[in-house]
Amino acid sequence: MSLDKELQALLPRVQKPARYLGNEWNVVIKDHAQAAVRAVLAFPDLYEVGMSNLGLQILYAAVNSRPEMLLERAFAPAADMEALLRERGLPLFALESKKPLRDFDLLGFSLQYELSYTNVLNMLDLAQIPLYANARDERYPLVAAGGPCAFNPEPLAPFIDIFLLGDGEEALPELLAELIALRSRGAGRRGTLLALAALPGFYIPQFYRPLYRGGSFQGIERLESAAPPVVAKRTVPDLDGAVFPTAPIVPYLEVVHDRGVLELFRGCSRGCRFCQAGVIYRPVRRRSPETLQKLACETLQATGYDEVSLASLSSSDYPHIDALISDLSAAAGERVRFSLPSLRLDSFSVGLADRFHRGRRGSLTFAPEAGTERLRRVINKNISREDIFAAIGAAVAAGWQAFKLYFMIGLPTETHDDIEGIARLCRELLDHLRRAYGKKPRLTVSASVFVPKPHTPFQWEPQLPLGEVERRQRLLAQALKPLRVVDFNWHEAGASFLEAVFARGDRRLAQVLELAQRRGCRFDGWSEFFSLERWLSVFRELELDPADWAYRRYTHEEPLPWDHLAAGVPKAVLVREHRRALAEEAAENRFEGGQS
Amino acid sequence: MARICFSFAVTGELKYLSHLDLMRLFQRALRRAALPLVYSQGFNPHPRLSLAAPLPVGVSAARELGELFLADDSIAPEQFLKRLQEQLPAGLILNGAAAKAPGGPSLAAQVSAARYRAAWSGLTPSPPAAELQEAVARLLSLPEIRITHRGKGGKEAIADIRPFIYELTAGMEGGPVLEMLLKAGSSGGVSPYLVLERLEQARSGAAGEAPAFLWNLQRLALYRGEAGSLQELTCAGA
Ligand code: SF4
Repeated sequence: MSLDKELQALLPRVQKPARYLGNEWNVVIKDHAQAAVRAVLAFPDLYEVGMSNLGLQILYAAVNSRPEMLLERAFAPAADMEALLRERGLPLFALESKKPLRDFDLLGFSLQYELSYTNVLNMLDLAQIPLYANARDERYPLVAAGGPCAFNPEPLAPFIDIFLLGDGEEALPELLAELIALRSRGAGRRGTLLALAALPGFYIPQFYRPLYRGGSFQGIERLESAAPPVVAKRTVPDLDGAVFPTAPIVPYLEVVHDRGVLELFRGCSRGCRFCQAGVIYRPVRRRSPETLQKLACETLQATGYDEVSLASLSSSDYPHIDALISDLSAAAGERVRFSLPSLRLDSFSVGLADRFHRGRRGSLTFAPEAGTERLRRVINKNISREDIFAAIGAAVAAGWQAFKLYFMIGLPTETHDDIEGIARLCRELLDHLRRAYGKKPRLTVSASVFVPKPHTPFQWEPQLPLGEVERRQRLLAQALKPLRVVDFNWHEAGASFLEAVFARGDRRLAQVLELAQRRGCRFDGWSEFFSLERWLSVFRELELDPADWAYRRYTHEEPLPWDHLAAGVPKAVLVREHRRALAEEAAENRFEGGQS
Repeated sequence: MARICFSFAVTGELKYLSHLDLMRLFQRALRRAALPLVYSQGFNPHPRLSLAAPLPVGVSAARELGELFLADDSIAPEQFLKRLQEQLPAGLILNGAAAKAPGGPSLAAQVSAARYRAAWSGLTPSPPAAELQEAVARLLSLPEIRITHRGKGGKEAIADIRPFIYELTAGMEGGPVLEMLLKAGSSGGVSPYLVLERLEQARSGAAGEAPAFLWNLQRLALYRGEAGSLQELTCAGA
């Protein structure tokens, strides 16, 4: 039986067969025999998550718009499909052609969050491709990876041939064009990697070796002169000229973000000191209103969506955003809704959300991040209590009935007073709303756990120990209890702990990932699958202590495992920002050091 | 306002779409086709489109029915068919369309029964024809076939589905084939999967493989009227 036939026999036995059909609207099916190079974009999470990722649709369009190239998709199969594939010894396949992943020239993973790393390994394993790069010969595809986590990919380094730093819409087609050229010149696997190492944005980890003394990381050594001492990231200079997927694949299933997307701009210069996205997507590059208008019309025409999300890191920062939305709405007609994914905490943003809202005024979401002005100064999220009151007051006056407020627990310098400050802020806000407007809206307080991320001013900070995180979560729950209209959600602290381990990890963690995958760790970002106990037993078995990565305060002087990967903001600027943070000072120019 | 009824077939892998998937697919296709749609009132307006009866996931279909409202009668049914078909994925095939009087009951309100055909999938060795016929006879001779299901409010309820099986026959066409006529629609009905499951029990005495794996199911037609005097529901007749 062909693989396609075998897979068809599996579909009646899985819970959501529509995840695996690969014939959605706007899908691109190309003839393998006609393509000079064949690649798969592998997303290490469920279909519904991967299909909500704009980057995936951008890369799909960027590669498939070239006649000589082909890019298909693969997602992490759900547990039921994985079990069937393993039971029958069938390899993981690409959705469009149903060909095994191992038959392609390049397999590229999208690395969006650290907790998907075991899925990367599991997908390689299911694809019947050796996990370690040095165990793969010419018969196997080159394995690449890109996305935010590629800025500290060291825990995955031994498994990956090529990391791509920065924007992919030009770099991925360029990589594939190189593969075509190199193959025609007869370059083997090693020759290909050597040639790629010399190009900007491509990090070839096997040409670098980390050095250790005792248990501590001493820096990284270059093994090939072709490999640069520091790998620069790729940036698309002009988004107006860049590819945009105006005919994105329209899923059959209801996916996480089930709507059209317009990317207004890339990058954010607000400079929140915990935020990695704010660094790695720099500089800020905007699409012009004219381009956006054109892209919106084409997208609606090609998809039939009735909602378009105006996505960016901080969409209300787009200049004249109100005029933009008015113009888009006028062009698209009254049946199409434009929505903003994130709202800044000020009256302007509230007014904006309100003006373009359709339907019941349900819930608005804001992220003050910290409970006191002091701590907000530390993280450079400079909003005052009065700003918050004014913004939410304006929303209440306009009829909004519920608010979600996002905070972080465990930010650097946080004390119990800052935690109680969250409850104080909620109480005073509710008092204010009752006095000024006679309203009693519902508040939902959501508290995630601070994770120090590479390339941010907080990259040297320790994560708060698990026990203390849990103590502060309970403290906050207690403090919020008397406020009866407040709901409290908190994140699984164990998952954030692991995220911190891998975010700042080095290559010693590769063996942990390998063993964790064998011990059954999958979908660690999903609380129903995550098991801290299983992870800890893997660390114990390898005689490693995860606390060494998560809880340590790194010094400004010591080498970091990602020093050879340039995200765009010089380390000296990060050090300065870190010092200012600890001195509770606002950022200079929103730390637009380097480029912005 | 104009009302259009259309008939369509669901073939190939599109049988794996759920009712909601199919609704979304039609709504998006209708918007791409730029037809003068009429939207529902309320906070979350949707095109006024409905399908006669939800098709169970995994079941293909020969003649499903749907209906929708258009703002005016500027679009002839043939034109409607052509414009919509261009926006549908391969596997979803429009068979016909007809204008309908705007008043009158909805298709969904008229459905009272459905005819299914099940062909052995061939993924496991097929049972002998005689054995299958015997199982059919045994199942039909039962005074009642009790099932537990989740009723309103999530409470478990017991129902007898025997009266919902109007016809059930077994035959051979290359491999085993079943045909069933089952009660369906808003006043209650029975899933063809449930009948196949009970048939498998009657045949082998055990729960066995999932019916969706053993059989390829197709819905042949929808009916209206009372049991005994059923008439096929079509765009012309509705
Ligand atoms: S506003 Fe702050 S948190 Fe949001 S993307 Fe910009 S820097 Fe990051």
